[in-house]
Amino acid sequence: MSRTKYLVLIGAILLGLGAVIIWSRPGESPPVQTSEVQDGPHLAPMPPPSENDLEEPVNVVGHELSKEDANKLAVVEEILISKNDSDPRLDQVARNLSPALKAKLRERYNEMAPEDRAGRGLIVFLLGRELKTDEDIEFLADVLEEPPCLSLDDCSREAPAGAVDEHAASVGDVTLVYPQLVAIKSFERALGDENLRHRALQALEAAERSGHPYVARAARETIERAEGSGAF
Amino acid sequence: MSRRIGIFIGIAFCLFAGAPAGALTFDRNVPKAVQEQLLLDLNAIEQVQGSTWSALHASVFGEMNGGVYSNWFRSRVLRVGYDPSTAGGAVAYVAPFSDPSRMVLTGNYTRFSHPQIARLMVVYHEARHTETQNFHWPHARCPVPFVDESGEEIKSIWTGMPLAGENACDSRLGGAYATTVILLGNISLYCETCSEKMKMDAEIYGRDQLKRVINRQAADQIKNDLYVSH
Repeated sequence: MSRTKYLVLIGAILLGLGAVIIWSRPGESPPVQTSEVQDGPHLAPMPPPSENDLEEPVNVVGHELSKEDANKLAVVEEILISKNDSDPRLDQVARNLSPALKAKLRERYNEMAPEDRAGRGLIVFLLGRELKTDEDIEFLADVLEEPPCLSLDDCSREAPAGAVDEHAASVGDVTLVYPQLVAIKSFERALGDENLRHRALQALEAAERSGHPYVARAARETIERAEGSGAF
Repeated sequence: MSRRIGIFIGIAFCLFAGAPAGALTFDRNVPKAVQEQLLLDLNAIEQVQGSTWSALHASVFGEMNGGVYSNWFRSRVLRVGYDPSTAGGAVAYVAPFSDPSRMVLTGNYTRFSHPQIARLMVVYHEARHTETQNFHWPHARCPVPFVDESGEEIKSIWTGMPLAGENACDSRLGGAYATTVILLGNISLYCETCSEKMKMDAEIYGRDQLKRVINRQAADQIKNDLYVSH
């Protein structure tokens, strides 16, 4: 090989390396794939993300998530898969949600099948724990106004009469309205916050007029408890 | 010679007595995913710790301690079976007269999307039904009419049908519904190691189950034990 050909070959390799570095620059990373965390239940909690992990922003389906947000989202996805509500990372990591992460979680909620009552309830819990803005409150109020889920098999269809063993079904009764009950619990906490009280009460009063008797009753009981404890 | 016989008897006992105390034995047909979910769920309650607990909790379980919950459950449920049927919405059941220490999980254990505390509530409820010495704590028929404190008829959300007359209530303080109300109520109030969500869920499901305790005296005793001063 002549000296010129050698130089051309080295130049081509350098160009290729340069292109790879440019394509992998921050801000152009591929979206976080939730399948990356689908590795089954974990008995031992994973450590919270380290400082070094929290620098680069990651673009997740239209929302600019920081690396910290992306790590939090990955934790939430992992808990959704493991169904382990006692995972300590729920309290240690999935907190202080940024507006972008909140938006992503709202999006995630709407992507979930209506029958995924526990998954939806988990998202409502995380968002309801950090009620701050009108947008936060509106989302929970919308959850309360959702059409009732009629059966855990298929929210759009009632289980046929006689098909349900009432002894076994008592747990299902609550699960059918679980996301709504979690939203009500969040509003109950918000009643103790001067800045949120008025909006929270409005949402609970609207739920009280809801067509769903169970949700209406839970909202009414919450208001009564708050009145009894002198919250207003 | 007698020592050898003793060793032989010991080995034979271990072989025929099944798993050592505390270990659950799964039937061969229990899917791995169902086994893992149950063990993960049991692990959650076995981590619970609290320095306070109610009087009723002390009488049913003892102190608030994961080891206590573990012993309570594992001394009652020795084997776990699997029924792939999902009919009726059942998540788990015990057949008290054929094999009282065997709990059968159905396909709904993992198929339905229940929060973890709800799955735990079901298996602890069913564990109460294993107790042969207490005639398996049979349920009572819900009264006719069956109304809540504000006079509204209590209906099944599933079917919209009234629960009145259904064999889905408890009249005794030790019944399976009452037992899980006491368990969940204490977790919601006193657990010091639980996640916030687990405590919230325990309150949501526990309060609902209280409606199934139809004996006024028993229900009042639970309310006084758990909720009145809170």
